[in-house]
Amino acid sequence: MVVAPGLIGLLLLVGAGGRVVEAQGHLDGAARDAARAASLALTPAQASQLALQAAQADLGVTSWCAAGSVQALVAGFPAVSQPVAAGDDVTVTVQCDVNMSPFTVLGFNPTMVFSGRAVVPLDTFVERNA
Amino acid sequence: MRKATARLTRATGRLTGATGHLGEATARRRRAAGRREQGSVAVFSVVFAVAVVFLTALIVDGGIAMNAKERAADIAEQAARAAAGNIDVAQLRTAGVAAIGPGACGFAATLVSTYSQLDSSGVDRVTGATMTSCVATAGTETATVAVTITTQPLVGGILGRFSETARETATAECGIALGAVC
Repeated sequence: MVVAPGLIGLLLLVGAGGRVVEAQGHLDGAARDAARAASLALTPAQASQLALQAAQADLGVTSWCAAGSVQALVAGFPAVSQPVAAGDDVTVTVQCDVNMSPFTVLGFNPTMVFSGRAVVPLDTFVERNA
Repeated sequence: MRKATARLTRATGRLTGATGHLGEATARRRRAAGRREQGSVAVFSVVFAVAVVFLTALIVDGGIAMNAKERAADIAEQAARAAAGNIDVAQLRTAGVAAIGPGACGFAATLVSTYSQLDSSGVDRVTGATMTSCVATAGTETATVAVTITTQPLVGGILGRFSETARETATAECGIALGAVC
């Protein structure tokens, strides 16, 4: 039939939409966990390390992220010898390459970079960089 | 002679025409049956396409709404933590109680606005996060923050926007991390 490829394309579109939304939800959740982990760290280096660990633990083999593509960027964590004022917060951006290879027929790139971000307040009453 | 020939030719022509007429009637019946089937495929395609577009809207915009619900809960939770983290130091020193100090809701509002600025791009973009209520009375230990965010539909005109509200609380406590006595 002439219309069959069009109908199959429409069904693929549903799948692509589902994957985009689900991947975004995964990354948002990973960013939340990574930001919370970073806010508990005592040094900037530890914050980056804990954020990456938390993100990788969330975006394991069951997620759509390509292996080894998970990154976690920590912003706003106080530098060494910089005091934390009330209202300071830490922002973590988690990103990874999502496999979109089944949907290249529809014009999608084989991999799409998704990112999720989250903000967590810093506890003023914790002694950091000691 | 010429006339007769012409008439004969015309007669033959008419005869051929008549035979052709008979064949055309059969062909028309066959074509009519074919048209009925072709029409059914077209109707099926249209109904299928409309159903799939609705399904896409349900999956994409519904999924975005579900993500937004989780995000609203996290924004409210972190804002409540920011408010509850504003401990009255003087009261902590004199009475040894971790109570919320004055102006705690200001910190919650700052966090909500910082968080909402991140949602301007991507699939999960929203029109903004607003703090609809904040209860963090000075002297108490618990802060409660409610946040509403409104989603932007990707498949426009079918399901429309979703407004997701979440209410979360946070409680100020002493010495959770290190076990210190207040």
